[in-house]
Amino acid sequence: ARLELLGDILAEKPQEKKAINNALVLSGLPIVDSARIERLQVFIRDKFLDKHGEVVKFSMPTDENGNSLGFALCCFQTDQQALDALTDIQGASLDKMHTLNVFKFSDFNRLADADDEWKPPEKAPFVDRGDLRSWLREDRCHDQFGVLHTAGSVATIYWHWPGDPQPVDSATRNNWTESRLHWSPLGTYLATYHTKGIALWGGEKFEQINRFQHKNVQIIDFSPCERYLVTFSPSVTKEDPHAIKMFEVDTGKMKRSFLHEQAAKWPVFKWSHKGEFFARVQTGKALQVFETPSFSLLDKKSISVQDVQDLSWSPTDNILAYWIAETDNQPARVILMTMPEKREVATKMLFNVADCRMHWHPQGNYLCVRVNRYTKKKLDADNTPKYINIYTNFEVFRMREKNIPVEKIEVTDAVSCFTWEPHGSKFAMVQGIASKGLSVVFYQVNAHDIEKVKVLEKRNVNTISWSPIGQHVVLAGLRSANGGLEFIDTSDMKTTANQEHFGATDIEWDPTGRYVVTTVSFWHVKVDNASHVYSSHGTLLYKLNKLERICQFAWRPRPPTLLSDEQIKNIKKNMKTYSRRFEKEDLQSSTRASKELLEKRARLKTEYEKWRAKLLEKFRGEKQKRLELRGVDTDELDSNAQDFVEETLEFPIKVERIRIDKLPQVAE
Amino acid sequence: QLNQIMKPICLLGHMRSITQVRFNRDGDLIFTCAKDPHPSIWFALNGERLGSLVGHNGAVWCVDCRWDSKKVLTGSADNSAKLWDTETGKCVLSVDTNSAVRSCGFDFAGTSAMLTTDKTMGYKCTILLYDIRQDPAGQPACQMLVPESKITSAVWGPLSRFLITGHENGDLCQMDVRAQKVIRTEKHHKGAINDIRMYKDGTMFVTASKDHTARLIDSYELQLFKTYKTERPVNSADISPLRPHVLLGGGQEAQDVTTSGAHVGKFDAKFFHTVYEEEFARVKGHFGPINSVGFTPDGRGFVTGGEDGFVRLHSFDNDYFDFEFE
Repeated sequence: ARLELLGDILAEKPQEKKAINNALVLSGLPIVDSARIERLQVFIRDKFLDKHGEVVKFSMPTDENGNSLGFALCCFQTDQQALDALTDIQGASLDKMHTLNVFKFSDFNRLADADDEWKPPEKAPFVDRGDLRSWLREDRCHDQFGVLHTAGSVATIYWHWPGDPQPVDSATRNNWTESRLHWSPLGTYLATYHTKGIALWGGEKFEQINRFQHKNVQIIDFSPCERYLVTFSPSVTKEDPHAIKMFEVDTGKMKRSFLHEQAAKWPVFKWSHKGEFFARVQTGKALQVFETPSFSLLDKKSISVQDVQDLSWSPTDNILAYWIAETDNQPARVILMTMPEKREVATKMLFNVADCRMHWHPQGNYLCVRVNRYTKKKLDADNTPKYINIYTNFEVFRMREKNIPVEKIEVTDAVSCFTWEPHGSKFAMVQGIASKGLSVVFYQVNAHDIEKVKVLEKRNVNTISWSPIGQHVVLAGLRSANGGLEFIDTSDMKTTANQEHFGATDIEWDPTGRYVVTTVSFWHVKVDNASHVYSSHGTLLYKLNKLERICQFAWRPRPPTLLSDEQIKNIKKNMKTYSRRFEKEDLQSSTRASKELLEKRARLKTEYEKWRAKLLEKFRGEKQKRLELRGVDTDELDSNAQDFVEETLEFPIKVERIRIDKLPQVAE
Repeated sequence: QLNQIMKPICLLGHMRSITQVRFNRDGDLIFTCAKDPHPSIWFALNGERLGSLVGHNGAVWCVDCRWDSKKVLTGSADNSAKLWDTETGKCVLSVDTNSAVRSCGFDFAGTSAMLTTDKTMGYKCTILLYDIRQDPAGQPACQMLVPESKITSAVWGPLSRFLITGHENGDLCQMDVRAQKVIRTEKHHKGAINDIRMYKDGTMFVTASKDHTARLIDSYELQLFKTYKTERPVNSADISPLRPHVLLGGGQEAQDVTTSGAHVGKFDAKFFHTVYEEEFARVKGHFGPINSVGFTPDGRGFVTGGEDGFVRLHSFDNDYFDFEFE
């Protein structure tokens, strides 16, 4: 039999264990007498050990009188279980005076065998990564964007010089990524996918910063602060059953890994805004909130919440929102809780709830909970609830006001594409069903009420894309909806432009809110792959269609501005003085750009003329042969003028029919 | 940008898609052939039809006019190629082949005709040379089998010393048929080469390919010099004899036909600057992919033939001749 086929069977062959990696030493335990030692053992196992796996061996040594010595040894069934337990219980407190100090048994051996002489550790060589933020200091504050093209086999990073994007030096690479490009949230790194894992690139020359091993990684997520990277791969093995891994970006070390049992939407773990916490829901049972950098559960335990369905962090504060499904005796609830204090700051009871979805305002000013409610509920044969007559309520939590008041809006039509206006107080959604005609409806959250400000009817729209700085929005019909684009200025709700990018599959604003790019991706449509760049008001600026088979267009994100709101207000007030200076610079640079273009063209022209000159030489050399073959000189159209015949052709310009007997009489 | 082109003359002579449009050397006659069996000859001056060539029984894939305009050569899917008298339209010679004739052409002197045939069951793609001075010229003077990728387009090289052939896999070859050998092969294209057109002096030519590009290549060493990129397969291309412009015509592949085809006149003839490789103008008008394009021999106009069966003859207005890139 062939060796490859036996591989997994061979792996199961009983092996003599050389290292004892499944054993832990627990120290820092209280010293108890023989009467209470049994209870202590049970307590330790129950509270700390059993939940991490099967404890195959447990021993608490005693002195000659039967008193415990303050430590215990335990062996788990697998090395991974021991590792999990170690991470989890290290540092846990038993009572006021005793804290668990846990370490691996193998470490114990290593320390015991250590040299008596201390040798200073080798200094790791300093890797100068250069300035990872160099792109932000470009002269004219141009943004960068990445394009994955040629059916995904080539990726290029460009400087967005409007009308004439320039590829960044050494940033056009073949097979840079095996599936897609992914920028980190603040734009510092570019992540690329490979069979072995993820690679991060950055700096002026996009050198490799770090590599993170995770076989067949399928999807990733960054913490908002970019300190941590979370990866998911469906390929799990017996030795490595953890589908989700978390890495520290700077060091490349894996900090923690998790099993992934239930079907869920990505990201499974949601991050708080500063990366201090990450949390996931154990549907129906509990919230698990972890803290960094320890990567262990906050207060060493999950938050038990019966029937909890989903959670969501505020994008600007350490507030966790979660909702609980309704049960036979209790209505559904939405609860907002601060972390790490775990203090409830708002609760809302909801009745007749089929489903909830949470939408945070990007600056954390509001939380909108979309509640699907029903008028009647039936139970199916297998006890799954079936809801009749669904209508939608939107519960808006005003986060910045005292006691977080909640306001309700009811919508009877079917609803989709709910979006908040960034840096503003409006929200928009698509209402209605396609067969009867869809409408886009805008609402404004005022001091005392929520007002419906505009209804745009008969719009074939499936995507509402707001500018990241607010005020401007694009209503788009992507993919099968023919690529209609309506640009609206929401300060006066006027449409500034109507455009069309037929077959567009994606739309993305640049991080400054100046440009919108629509793309027809090769991943969905095989022809006409191009990206179109529009201004925020909808003027088509230029098309990126020289690249073949564009798959993905992605703007490089920017870190948030360091200016305070006051400073921004000041700049807007004094816009005229600033704009004068920039207009002058713009004029200079446009002539500068055309100078480069002129030089390039002049160069191409000389090259071409040289090439043609060589060919013409050959042509002239063959003239004699040509005369012999045809008997006449046919090199030019008028080469043998003597053979020309002059011909006069007459074409009637106008034809008129006159009846002779109707001719006007000539006066005698 | 070119804004106004004078209204084109529309030649409505074919019921099926146009396969090729050609001018005679003097530029006063236009030859059109289509997927119907009757190629037509027209006066270029006003679009008046001279007549049609009757005799074929299937789609006519190619047509060529001899340098002295006295004879016309056509190749058809009815497994024959025919030689016609231009003035009378009479068929003076007909040769049978084993499969459809895909390309044909008179040599420089006008004494030989080359044909290439398609690969079908039992028959390999073949190049055939006939001496047309002999009467009857029943047997080919020589022939050469093309074993690998079949020929999709072919023209005579300078002084007709060899043929330049474009293949289904994107290969470009120089074939010396009389010596039965392939002089040179280059792979510049990634897809089938749909058309090859010589520049007026025969020193360079432009290729149109399914890989969405057209390329400018020299005839002597098959060296690639320029590439013109589009978003659709290119069916035909030609080089202006007068200005540094290249004309491209193309369309979408049959299997990609979706609702986008409903866009009126979305099939444009595209103009590129020969040296700068930049597209600077598009002329709309066809309702289906453009299958064949050509500049008039004096460079003062151009003709396009489409899948819609229409042949459109355009004359450039003054803007075109004054138009310069900075």
